[in-house]
Amino acid sequence: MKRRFEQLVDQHGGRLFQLARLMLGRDDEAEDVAQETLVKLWKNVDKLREGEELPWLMTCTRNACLDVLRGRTRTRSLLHLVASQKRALGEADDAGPAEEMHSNERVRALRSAIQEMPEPGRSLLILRDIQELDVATVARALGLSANQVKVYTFRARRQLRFRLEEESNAQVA
Amino acid sequence: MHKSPDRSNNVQGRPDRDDHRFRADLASAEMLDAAHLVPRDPELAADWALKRELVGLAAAELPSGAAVRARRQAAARPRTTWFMAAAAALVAAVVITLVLRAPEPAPPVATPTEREMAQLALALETLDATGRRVAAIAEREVSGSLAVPDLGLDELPYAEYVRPYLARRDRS
Repeated sequence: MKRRFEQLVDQHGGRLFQLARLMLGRDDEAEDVAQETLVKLWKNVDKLREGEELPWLMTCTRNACLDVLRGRTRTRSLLHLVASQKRALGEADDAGPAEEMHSNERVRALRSAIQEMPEPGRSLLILRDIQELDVATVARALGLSANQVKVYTFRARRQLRFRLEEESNAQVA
Repeated sequence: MHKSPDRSNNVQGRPDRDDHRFRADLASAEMLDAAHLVPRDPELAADWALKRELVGLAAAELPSGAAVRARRQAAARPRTTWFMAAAAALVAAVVITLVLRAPEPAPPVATPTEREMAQLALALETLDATGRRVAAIAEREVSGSLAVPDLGLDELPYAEYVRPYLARRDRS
């Protein structure tokens, strides 16, 4: 049991932490969610069948993230927004070459835009495009059909692109 | 390969337009998934570029020690649960005992007025006098008919001392 648990953590731990981080936008909350998911994994590792682990882990992580997002009050979100803007300013000051700074800004913009996407588009973009999970795994994790996964991911990506273009145009203007 | 549109979340009466749009999006999605080069269509080309950009986002690593902490937490939880359940049961038992052993509520203390006290005293006095009179009449009426029981005094030692005493009591 311990060995299988450790194998699964080695294989998928990074993925579930990344999913939580991209959904929540905060490392501390993402770590809490990842840990909570691992506690559930430890309790259920014997019951999980071979090949079911990754969809199960992703479903648990996503549900925990959605719970956290639902629980956030507006005040907390605003505080978080202020804190993240301060952090972003600090990071921008530390940046060296102009290209690196531009690249960091782009990554931040991408992460922020993904975080603001509605569900299930946000989860689909993270699982399909960023983590490159196969359609069947994502379909099982999100309770969708394969075709729905393909189409909704396509639409979410396009929506994300429009948002990024709008933000970019707004900054230029 | 031809793929039929997914209708699993389609409600009856939804316009055909949605079906067409779903089919078109599915075709575009599959084309993008299979494309190794930039598509000619500018919209699809922009989607393709964004997809590549998203793939390039750095992967995250699980913070070190998270798995160990999770295992410890999972192992510690049953003990905590058991302890909490035992504590709750103890508290419940104490509460139930206290509720069951609670004393009867004391009757309200009423202070009688002087008039009530006077009425009570008169009632008791009347009962007492009537009772005495009834007892005297009953004794007078009945005593003649009652034979003095033979107590067998003669067989007892010192009977001559006891007999006058009993005779006095009979008269009173």
